Amino acid sequence: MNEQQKKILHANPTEIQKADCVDSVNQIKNNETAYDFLPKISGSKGGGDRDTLKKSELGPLASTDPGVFAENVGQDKISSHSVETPKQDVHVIVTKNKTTNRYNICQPMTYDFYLLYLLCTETLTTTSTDSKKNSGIEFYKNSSIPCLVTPQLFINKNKGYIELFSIYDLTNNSDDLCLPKSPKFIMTAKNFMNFMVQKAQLHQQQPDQFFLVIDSQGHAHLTTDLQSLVKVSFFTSLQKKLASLFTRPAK
Amino acid sequence: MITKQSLEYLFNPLIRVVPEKDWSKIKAIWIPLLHHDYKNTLEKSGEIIILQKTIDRFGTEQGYLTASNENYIPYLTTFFNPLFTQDEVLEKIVQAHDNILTIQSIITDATGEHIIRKTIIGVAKSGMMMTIVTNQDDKIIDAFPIFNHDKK
Repeated sequence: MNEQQKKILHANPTEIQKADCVDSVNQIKNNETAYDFLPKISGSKGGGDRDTLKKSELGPLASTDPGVFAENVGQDKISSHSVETPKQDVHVIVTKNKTTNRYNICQPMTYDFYLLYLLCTETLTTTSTDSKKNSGIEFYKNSSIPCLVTPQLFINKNKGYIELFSIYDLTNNSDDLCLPKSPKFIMTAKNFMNFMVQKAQLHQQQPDQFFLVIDSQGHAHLTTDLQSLVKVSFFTSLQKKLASLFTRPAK
Repeated sequence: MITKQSLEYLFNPLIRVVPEKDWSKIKAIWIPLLHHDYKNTLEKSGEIIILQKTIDRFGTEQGYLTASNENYIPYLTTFFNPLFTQDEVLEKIVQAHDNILTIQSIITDATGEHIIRKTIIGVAKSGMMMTIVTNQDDKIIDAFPIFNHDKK
């Protein structure tokens, strides 16, 4: 073990804490009712401007049954208070390379997509190293697992949100032991669970091509059929409109 | 040009610590970027542990990298053949970098004009495939072998 490693292991926490390591947790502490961690869509480095999601609007966790994904999409209610709100879904195409037997993204992409691409292609492992439990779902359910690592991705559980980091951003930052403020992608717990269910589905199907989507609300999806997301969005908005007819206060 | 210094992490166990926000405890320790253990020296000394290790026909090892502390996070990763010297590893990385099979991903900045990271898959003369990651200066920041699941 060299001096640098020893320094890291035996660093005085108080000294390091003095460094600029204030992050999203402190933001939560400062504001118990508003969560401003949702990722900006296109052109953002995760951690930029955020929409605001009220705590009471998070709703229960999505079912782990792959069949119920479509019902869950779009159920998160996000009120738009940010300056720049994405208006439409954005996606990248993920294609299987037959020579390497790996999934690639041919077109250039932003950092948000990169982190999500790693999440959907890299093998997640828990501390148990039990291959049957190696999934993000196990990670989320087990409160004793605070983070996951892959060769290129660091996944951190933070107050019910899931933060994705590239390990290269963490290793470069050798003087600061805290997680960087950015770039990162932050997912709601519900969105993370849905994403993992979709990943499991795709792992079984092994399609030649699928789509990695960040929808207009900042939620990530994996699908082989972009139209399915559009249909769900339509029915969800119709459902909301109908519901609003019955919830208007009487004049 | 690839130098040992630029890829030092591949050969030395840089240990990273992630503490709780209030420093009440350490939530995670892991060993990123380590991809070569010459003659399994680190493993034999007990500095690192590789669980459920398997070896392919190129001598590439795959297993869960961890260390003897409950806060270490094991993660599935690959190691270059431990019989390769560091120079041999670097030589194979150069070969793979010069023989790109496919570009796995290109990441741009917010403007979409500048490439900030690129991941490629290249193949060495022996046929061993590896993932190579470069930064905005096209400098290699990581390289690790792809485990070959074909039978020996």
